[in-house]
Amino acid sequence: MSDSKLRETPLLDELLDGPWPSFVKDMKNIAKRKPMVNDLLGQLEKSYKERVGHWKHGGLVGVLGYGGGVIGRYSDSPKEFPNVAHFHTVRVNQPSGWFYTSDALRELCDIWDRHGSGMTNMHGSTGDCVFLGTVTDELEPIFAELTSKGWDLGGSGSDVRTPSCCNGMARCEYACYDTMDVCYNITQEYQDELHRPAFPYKFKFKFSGCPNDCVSSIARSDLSVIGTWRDEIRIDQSAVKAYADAGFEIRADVIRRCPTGCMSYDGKEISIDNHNCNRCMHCINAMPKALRPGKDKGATILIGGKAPIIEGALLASVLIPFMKLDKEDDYQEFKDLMERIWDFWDEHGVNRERIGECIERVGLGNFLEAVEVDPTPTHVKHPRTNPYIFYEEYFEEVDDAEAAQE
Amino acid sequence: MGDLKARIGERLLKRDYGEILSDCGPSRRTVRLLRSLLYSPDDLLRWRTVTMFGWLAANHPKLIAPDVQRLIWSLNDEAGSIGRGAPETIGEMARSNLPLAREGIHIVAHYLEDRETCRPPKRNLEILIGALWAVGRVGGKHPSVVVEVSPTLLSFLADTDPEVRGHALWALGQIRSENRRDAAEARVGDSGKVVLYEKEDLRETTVGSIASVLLASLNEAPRESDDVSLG
Repeated sequence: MSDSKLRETPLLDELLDGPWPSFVKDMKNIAKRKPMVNDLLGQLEKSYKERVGHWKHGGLVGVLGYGGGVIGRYSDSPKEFPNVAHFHTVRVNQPSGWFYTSDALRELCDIWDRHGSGMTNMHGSTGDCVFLGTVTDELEPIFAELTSKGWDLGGSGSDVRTPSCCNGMARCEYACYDTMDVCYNITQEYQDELHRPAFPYKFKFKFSGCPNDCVSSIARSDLSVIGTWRDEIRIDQSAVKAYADAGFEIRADVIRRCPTGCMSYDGKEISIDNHNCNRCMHCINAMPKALRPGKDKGATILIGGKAPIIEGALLASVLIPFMKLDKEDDYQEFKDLMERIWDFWDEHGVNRERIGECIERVGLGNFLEAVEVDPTPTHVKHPRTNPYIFYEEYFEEVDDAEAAQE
Repeated sequence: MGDLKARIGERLLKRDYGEILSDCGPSRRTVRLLRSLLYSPDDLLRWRTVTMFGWLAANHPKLIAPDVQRLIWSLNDEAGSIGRGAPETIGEMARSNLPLAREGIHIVAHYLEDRETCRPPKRNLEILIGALWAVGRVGGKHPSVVVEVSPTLLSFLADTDPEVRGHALWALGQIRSENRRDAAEARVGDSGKVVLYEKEDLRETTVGSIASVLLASLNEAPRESDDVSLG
């Protein structure tokens, strides 16, 4: 039991009445032995009452050798809630696919119980395992203990944020590449970029094994890698028949819902015009025993997704329609592309400008030229709206004509 | 990239600043590696990287033009990062090329005047000492740019941390603040230990020694006419 009695929290207590477990119950349990959490409850109650937050920034905190991984937080009412005067957040790099053993979870929780509030966020929106609430003096001891046991901090600030991925081949038959291996490989490759901020702003990688995009990489990452295939969807016609025999409405629930209308069903067999398939995954999700991704698998690389902070939200758009992601070659093609992208963004990006915003500002054509990617129809957002656009060929023709006159 | 970073580190320790660009190329990739060395736990390497940025500011200002804003942002308490090495680097860049980093050094100077960020319990000592060093470096060449910080520097002479007292006194001397003689005389007996980066090397000294050196320089060549006053 802490040295002070539990704070009165009548407004928070209302959250205990519903049918679902409440975070308030958990916090009250911890508050019995952690004064920090008791004060946190008190400050939260105050926020509910006054309808205003009582957290603020106000200090630069971190650990030696790293530029990120810790977010400084302070109470604006330290006299009233002295145990949350400092309440820093520590981001811990999660395992690929968020696979933990129970021993690993206990290890993390024990470390955090010794050095912080004991409260975690599993997981933050970037993917890290987030430790909520500690004081400045505990940061180095936490870091030392985490790293001695093979853990590491995640990213924060203008750096590569902790890469994250779906479960991939570990649990999902749709995975078109080994997301967990790529995610781990990229995390190891870019340790410097992850821990020592040197970019114009944050840069997020997310890896999805198939176009279902379970980690929402297209919306939540600057560099989205989504598994795909470039041959034909595999069809098991006997399984199609089994679905039909079981009463599954193939026409109503699959064929008519194909967004590009590239599927047909003659009452016996399904056929697909694969060139017009846009990888919506609906048919494969609806009939997983009959339809499977093709055999020639790889990934589509998309760029520019972000949530709204400085500018509005952007969805990532296709940069490379298909990349094989060759494990034998240590994913070198992907890494070479990354270096070119970062060189461009580092040189041309203004402060706090995400790569997607930078591309919108300078123009996709200029970006593609800089990163040595040939334009393809998949890059075209919409037909040109301005007729006074001249292509390089036009200027070459003019140059040739002028040269001929001279 | 790891090999390249190690090579840059070796060159920095040998003070081969020009050779780094010859070896690695005058590219943003090289600058990014240098930025990451600002977080090095090796103090001398970190400080030599600061010097390298000054060299770049003098010789290749376009190459590092984006870094002033980025370093400033890294000192913002909403940046989610710690900005290690940022004030020193901004200071060294401003000393070498004032137009390039004038805005930055004003922000570093303002940082010193912010009680909340520079006084216990929230302050980050490393950033604070870096900021004191930065205004000293700029003050040594462009005293009028930072002289207005002199009263704040004087207030740091009563700080509990000897590194803070020592760097504040050293900065007052560099700026040629009109109060520097009184400040130095008051600190001659201060045995607090200070590690000071000067002439591209780290040396261990005391606040009292810094005061004595300052007084000796004033006595050897009285330059009261050079005093930089707020008036």
